[in-house]
Amino acid sequence: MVEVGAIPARDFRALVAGAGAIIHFGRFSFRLSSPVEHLADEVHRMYRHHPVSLEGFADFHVEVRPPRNLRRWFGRQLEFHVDGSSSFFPLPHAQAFPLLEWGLNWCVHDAVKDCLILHAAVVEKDGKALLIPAPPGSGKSTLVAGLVHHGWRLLSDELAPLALDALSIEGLARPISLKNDSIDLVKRLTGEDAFSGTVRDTVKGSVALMRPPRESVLAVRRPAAPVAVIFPKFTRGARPVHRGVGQGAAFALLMESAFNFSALRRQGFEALADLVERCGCHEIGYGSLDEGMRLVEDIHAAA
Amino acid sequence: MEIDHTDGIAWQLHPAGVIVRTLDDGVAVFHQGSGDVFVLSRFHGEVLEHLAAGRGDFMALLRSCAPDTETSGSEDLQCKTQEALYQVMSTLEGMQLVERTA
Repeated sequence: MVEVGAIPARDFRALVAGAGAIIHFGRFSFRLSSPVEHLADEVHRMYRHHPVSLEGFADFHVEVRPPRNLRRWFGRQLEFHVDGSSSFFPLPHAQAFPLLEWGLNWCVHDAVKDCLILHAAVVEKDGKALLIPAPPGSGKSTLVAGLVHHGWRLLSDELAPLALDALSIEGLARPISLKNDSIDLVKRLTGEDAFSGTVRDTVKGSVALMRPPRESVLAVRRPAAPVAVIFPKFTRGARPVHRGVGQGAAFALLMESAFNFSALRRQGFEALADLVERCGCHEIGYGSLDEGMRLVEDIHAAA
Repeated sequence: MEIDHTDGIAWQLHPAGVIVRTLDDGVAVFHQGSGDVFVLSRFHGEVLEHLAAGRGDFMALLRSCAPDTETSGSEDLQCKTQEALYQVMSTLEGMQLVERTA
């Protein structure tokens, strides 16, 4: 299979506007069809290293297009459709790429029945993976972007599929979603090339996505063993702190991050208990990206 | 709190099944009927384990969970221990993890 970047941007735009292009990430694939040219261009840049095929099976048939009902008269809006139906409110035309990414998150979490899906990032180095769950605003994605820029493998920025034996986490290696001040912060570190355009006034504020490194995309089918769970908290100007978190406290926090817990019931419960028993659980607080990364490196080295 | 007639009270785990995982700072508990999950103290976990072993009578629980109090504690301490255990059982009842059998 060729990589998306091997197809000229103009041809890719035509493919997406026509029969669609099938893009593969981890064990999943989605066929993207859309008449929105700037969406095709962003996908071409942000999924540059992902395999693409023109025909065959796709897990999700995704279409991002203007509404066909009366909504089309209310400003320029777009809808996310998967397998012919849409469960989402339309968003402004300029938010096409975030709409696609948020829709794909929903597709993955809805499709996976054999893993516990945690709202968490996962990075790996030297065969040891760190699970980083955190609520919005805690600095998770910024921290992950910094680590990935320094050579860590990205498995996921947003959704962590934990095997039910808790021994491994699957990779997705999709773009990292950065928000507000963290966009310029990470751009200063990595340069502009890896970034999508910044979309302003979304429900999450300003949003830009960062392309995953090619090495992470190529290794995406190799699961990683979690050795530590880290709950990060960025507070501007705060001094760096690191505390151990008890297994029960970590279990309770992870419960809040588990999307499909109620569907998996006892299997999900046992997987989460196995995870906190097996991994060291940590809480870190920091006031700068460098300090946050140093704390993560220390935890990784000791794990 | 005044507790009367503790002699006759007994509990059992909810018949649908309760799974307890002991962790280093508490227990995680799964209710197999409702699917509810709780994170509770180690003491709650200990009580649930005694119930799982069929020791659900109040006085038997008291002897198992606070063995020294009954023999060496003052009357006041015994009373407070009984109250604490009764509170724990009420909490577990509220969560429907246990139910009274008598």
